[in-house]
Amino acid sequence: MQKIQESKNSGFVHNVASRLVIFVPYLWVILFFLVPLLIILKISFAEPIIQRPPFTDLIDFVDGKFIHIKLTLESYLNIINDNIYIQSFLKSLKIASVSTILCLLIGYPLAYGITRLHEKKRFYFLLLVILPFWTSFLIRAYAWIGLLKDDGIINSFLLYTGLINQPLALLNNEFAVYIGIVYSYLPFMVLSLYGSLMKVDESLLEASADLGCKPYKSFLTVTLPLSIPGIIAGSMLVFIPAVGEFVIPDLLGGPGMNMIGKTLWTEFFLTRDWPTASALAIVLLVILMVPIAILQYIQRKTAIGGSYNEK
Amino acid sequence: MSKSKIPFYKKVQEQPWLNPREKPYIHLENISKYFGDVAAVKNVNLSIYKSEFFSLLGPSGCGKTTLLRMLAGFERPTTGRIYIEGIDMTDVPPYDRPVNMMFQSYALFPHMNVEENIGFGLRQDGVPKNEIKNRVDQILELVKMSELGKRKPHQLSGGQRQRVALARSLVKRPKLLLLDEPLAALDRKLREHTQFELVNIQEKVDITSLMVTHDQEEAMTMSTRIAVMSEGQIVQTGTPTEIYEFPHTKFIADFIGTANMFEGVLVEEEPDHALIHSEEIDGDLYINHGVSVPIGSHVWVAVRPEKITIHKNEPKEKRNCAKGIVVEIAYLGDVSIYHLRLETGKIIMATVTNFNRITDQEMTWDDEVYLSWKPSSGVVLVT
Repeated sequence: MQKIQESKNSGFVHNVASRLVIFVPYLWVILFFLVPLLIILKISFAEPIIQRPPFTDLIDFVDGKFIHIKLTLESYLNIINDNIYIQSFLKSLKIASVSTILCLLIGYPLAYGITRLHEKKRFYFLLLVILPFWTSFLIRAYAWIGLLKDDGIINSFLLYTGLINQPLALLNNEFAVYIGIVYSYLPFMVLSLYGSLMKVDESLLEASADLGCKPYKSFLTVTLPLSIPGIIAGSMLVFIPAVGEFVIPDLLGGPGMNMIGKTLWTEFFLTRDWPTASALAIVLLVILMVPIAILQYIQRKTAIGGSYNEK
Repeated sequence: MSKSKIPFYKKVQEQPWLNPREKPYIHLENISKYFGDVAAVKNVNLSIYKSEFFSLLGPSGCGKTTLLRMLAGFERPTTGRIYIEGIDMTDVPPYDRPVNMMFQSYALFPHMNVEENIGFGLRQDGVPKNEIKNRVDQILELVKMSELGKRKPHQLSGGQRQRVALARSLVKRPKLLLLDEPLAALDRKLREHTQFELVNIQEKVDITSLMVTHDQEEAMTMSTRIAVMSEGQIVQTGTPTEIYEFPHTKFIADFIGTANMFEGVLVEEEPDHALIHSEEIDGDLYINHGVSVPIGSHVWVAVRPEKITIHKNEPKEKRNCAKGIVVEIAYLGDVSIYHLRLETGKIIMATVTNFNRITDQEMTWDDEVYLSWKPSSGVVLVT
């Protein structure tokens, strides 16, 4: 009897302890992600005014008795009516989509190549993929300026060799933004693809060859379908941050590069229209939730059907 | 041997390997395979005849799987040629060979259902859609999986996956079916049942088969012939009976089943018998077959445990006889295995079939007994 009591007690302690352990990260998420998000949501329903903070309160106490709630959708209407915002959304989506496709086209052969290597070499090549992370993101972006500008390394070299007579316009345009985004996010793509390509059992390729499949067809019918989870995960990891990217278009894209991140920044810090900026952030979030939901759905599906490594 | 080890007699009764005019269906000529400096397969010559169920048997690392993979086309032999129906296949890539393999891991495509998995090979060959459907349905019926055609591999049990893998390797009607430890992943009961079923299916579709296994029981049950491999070489080829009753070397006698080995010196050698003096039993061994080595040679006599009889009283015949003490009894139900220690210290194993229900032990630990065997029981081994 005493034993049962004891075990019950220890079970209770264990329960509390495990709850506490889970609670800490939850607290973190609530305090630093959910609360700020709710504040942004709140601001997006307010009106801009010239004071500090630059927006109206949603809740007023009238004569200390009545609660007066004032919500306005004006910021959202602003976004729909003003072409600038829609334009920058579209531009962001376009740049993010093209960058994702470029990352996929470059990353897939790279990841595939690495999985085909001998185990020891594989480690070094993966290291090379991860290595850029060891330098600050900003420094790497600035380094690209040094490479791409009119008197930068690439133009100087091409002028020196006589291949061109005047410097190519490599910086302050979309081209530079693509280079920046693809360069920065390629490792995410490569690592996701690598993860799912490594899971493709070598004997499946042997089986398909044995059943009459030439290597390129084995790739199309076996390797490619089995790496879809990696393709999707990698694409999301590139696409989602690329849509909201601010630093790269700001540094490499020049003044005309109105991606949504830049527009947001302008609204917050130049126009000081916080409600519109907040509304933009909320719309961006909603737009990005669509691919995240798709990712979740597919991951759940592959988690159920994905136990193909067990015998 | 226990019930499950009764050899399965194949319908290939003509024994084409005995007919010198018969042409081998599959022929390996001087096949060697080196990985770096290590020889995985050394100078293998092998002929397999049509409709045979041939087994490569050996301990792990003996090169049997490498040999199989060379037949499938996954590995290229360092030297030697591979012929299928007289056509040189050595340099033909796997996807152009009339050979299909059933993988040890089954290697079913996880993103395809059972029907798609089985039809995969036919689709590669551009077989018309409705014919693919017919052939897949047929083969599903053969392996008794008709109900489960729409399932994905992860929704199947181990035994069902094994059937799908078999069906997938049979559906293209290959000239040679390769089986890589086909039953290794199944539990014991299912394995014994599947052994017979696999042979039945193989006979029904009449596809020449080559199986790799380390399980001697499996090889004996299923095969028309067995090639025993050791360290990259084939050490003996023969029917299950030949391999079991007439092993060529000590390694084979020991690897296939169990054998009591008596070391001795050849003292008399005639075409119809041989006499060996062995210090180990402090007596003589009389064997009813000749030996082609000179008198005075160092030889071994192998006697299987089931061929040894245990007596309470001393037998009249002094040859093929020894005196010992029961040191260990293992009761297995159908048989009991006795471990007997001779006066010289040597341990002998003897199997006794339990004809009667054992209520009162006839023999027990520390009993002094005599053991004997017939001249036709032992086999003389030179190496």
